[in-house]
Amino acid sequence: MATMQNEQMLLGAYRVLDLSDEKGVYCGKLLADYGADVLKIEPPQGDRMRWRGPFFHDDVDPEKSLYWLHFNTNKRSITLNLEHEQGRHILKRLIETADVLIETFPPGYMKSLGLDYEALKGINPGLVMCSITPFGQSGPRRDWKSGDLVNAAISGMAHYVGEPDGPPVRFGAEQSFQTASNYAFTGILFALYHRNVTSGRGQYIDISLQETYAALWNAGGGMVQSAVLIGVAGARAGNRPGLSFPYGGFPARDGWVLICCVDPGQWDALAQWIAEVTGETEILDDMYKGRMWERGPYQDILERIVDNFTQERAMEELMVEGQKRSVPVFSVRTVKEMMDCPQLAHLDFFTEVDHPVVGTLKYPGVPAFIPDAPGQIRASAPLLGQHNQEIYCEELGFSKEQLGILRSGGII
Amino acid sequence: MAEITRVTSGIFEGIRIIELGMNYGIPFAGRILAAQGAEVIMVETSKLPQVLRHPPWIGLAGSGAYFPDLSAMKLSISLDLRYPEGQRIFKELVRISDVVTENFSPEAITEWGVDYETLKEVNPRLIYVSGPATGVSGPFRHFRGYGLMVAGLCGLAALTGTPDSPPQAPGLMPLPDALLGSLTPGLVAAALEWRERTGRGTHIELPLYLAGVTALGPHILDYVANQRISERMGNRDPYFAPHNVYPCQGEDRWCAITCFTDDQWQAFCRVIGNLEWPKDPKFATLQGRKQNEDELDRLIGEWTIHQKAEDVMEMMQQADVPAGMVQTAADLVTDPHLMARNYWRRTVHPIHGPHPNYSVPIGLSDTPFQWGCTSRTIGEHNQYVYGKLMGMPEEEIQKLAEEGVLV
Repeated sequence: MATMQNEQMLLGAYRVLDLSDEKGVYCGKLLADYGADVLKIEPPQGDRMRWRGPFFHDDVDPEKSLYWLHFNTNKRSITLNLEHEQGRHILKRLIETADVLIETFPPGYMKSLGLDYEALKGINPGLVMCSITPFGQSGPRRDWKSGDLVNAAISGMAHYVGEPDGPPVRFGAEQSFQTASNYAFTGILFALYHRNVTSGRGQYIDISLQETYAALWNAGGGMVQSAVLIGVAGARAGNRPGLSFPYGGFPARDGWVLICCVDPGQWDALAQWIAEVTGETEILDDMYKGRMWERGPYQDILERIVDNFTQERAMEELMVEGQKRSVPVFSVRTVKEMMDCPQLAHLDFFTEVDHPVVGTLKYPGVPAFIPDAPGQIRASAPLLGQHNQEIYCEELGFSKEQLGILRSGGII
Repeated sequence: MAEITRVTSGIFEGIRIIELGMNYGIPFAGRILAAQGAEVIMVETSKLPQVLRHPPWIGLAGSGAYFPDLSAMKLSISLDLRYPEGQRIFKELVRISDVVTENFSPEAITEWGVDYETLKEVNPRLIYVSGPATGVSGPFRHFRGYGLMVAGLCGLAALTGTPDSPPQAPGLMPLPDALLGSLTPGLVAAALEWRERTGRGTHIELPLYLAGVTALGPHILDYVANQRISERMGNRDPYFAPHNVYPCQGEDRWCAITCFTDDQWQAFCRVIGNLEWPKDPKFATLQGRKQNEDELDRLIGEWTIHQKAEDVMEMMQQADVPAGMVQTAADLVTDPHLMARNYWRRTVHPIHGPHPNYSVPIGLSDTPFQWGCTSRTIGEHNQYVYGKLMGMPEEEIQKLAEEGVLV
């Protein structure tokens, strides 16, 4: 059952071979969650990510890694030793029917095994091969090492995040990996579209973590334009960038809220609300009206008024009441508040799925709804080599005895 | 020499996209599609120019710092959807288009009659993408939010920053918008391919909120399984040390150094040379380094403060230790690796002149992303879209402009 051509599965027509680590595992998950048949190919001793925390009940066990469980939903697992020639031979057989291969090995490694794109496209000209590495496949630093923090530093992200009198900090939850996976997903779907509709051929995709992270921020921040054209390099501004008000974080009684009053009406609504509830009328003054950058010069005075107002109130109340009055305000939530979020409940965002070892857990779902072809968590992450028999015997035709030989030979 | 304005060849040549977008998320996605030849038509009205056309923040004269970049390779028409005539014209344009992308409020979209349910009657093959703040439906549907704020709602801000600082939601870098913008084009491609198979269009809804929440992955499971609420750790890592950013010579110069294996730790010790403290047995194991992490970070900082950030980075990388200097925008422009990779493309700002920008950081071997120029005035392509594409006679265009519809 190599393909599941089914209108309801957006990507059901595709077979994906996922050889990736942290740098690409989320890309494989997105493809799987939207219906692709994704084989997570692990070394015989298990993928390294099975040893990444957090763990279920803090029990360090390769079948209890919550990291693994999240990023490998809907995938099937086979074990395969690419260091062994016969292992590589088996991979090449799988390539024959694959649409996509994702890998994150250091540049040159796949080539040293005879598994680079040039070799693989000879076996299957329709293959789309995507490599995700810290600095890409070319250039003077292509062999350099990184991780999420180094990516944040080298891409320029970290310089602009953090308190003005504090160090540069990275975004939480390893965003450089998520970002690269998003771009890889887009690149792969672009290449598949092009193959299916125009060329009939696959192609190779080179993704650099430095570039994808730099791109996010460069576009959003326009920092490079400013640096080059007017010599303004920008700096860390905490969660109040200044020059505009209100645009950023304000302390609540039990946490923080983020308020952005961009348009005049939004400011008027906020000012009205504060005046009504606290009796503070200074804030209604005409000189403060207008668009948010017009209030930049009055930041100090207005900060005091708004801080005094927000710090007396709970963050969720501020959000709900504020939004009723058309003030753009959101609470700064932790995971706890999200589990109770009525909007996420409405969006049916969490799915309960059973797993043979950790039992039933609620998993976060997919980022986009496509009612005609919804993505969903259909199955939990696989156990190590759970699908060896399905793939090697039922699909590739090995007998059970042969499977046993492959196993004892360390090939799978 | 005429500046290349639009990319006309590529994977999506012949695909027409109407972009009813503002701020970052949806325009970011449109830019990626435009760089593969899609004809992306921004619909705006000069009576209510979008925020990013204004110069707050970095303040480039003539338009905000972001807008030239986000409008790169697109066309612009002026159209006021508050007029019934404007709505009718929009529908006519939808009839000859493939995709509509929007991130206005659900109320506005419904009020203007340009929601998916309406437009799919006009063009059953239409791919329709919504990028609302929290959802086109649901208890928060009326909530107003911008990307920076969504970073708070989705839990990302709570995880960003040092433990003793407030949660960080950097205003100049709305991550949820960028996550939405980088994922959406892939879903559009998938939907276009699905359309080939089924003959129908479809609706894709990608709330900024979900683009952000899905970024938290394992932290959500940690709460579900262990009732643990992750806290911000600055640059530290729950499992590894050293893992931080260290102050170097000069003003606000830092270098990140991270060791994930014992080999890397030993290489690190060799690089920093003949100091006594790394030989202390308490730092020899990972557990020891984690237990004494404050002291470890302080000691490393006492070494790095005498070095240039780029030297620290070079020395460490030569020894296979993951390290990277914290680069600024100015550093990026002269980054030798990015230059060797041809990351930077030349672009021309209408007032300030030439400056570097970048295309799309996805290296497709056979159909590389291209680049075109930036910065559109509202309605710059009215003649082309209304006159040529839609065949409206000149007098009608004039009349509608005078009436305020095509403004």
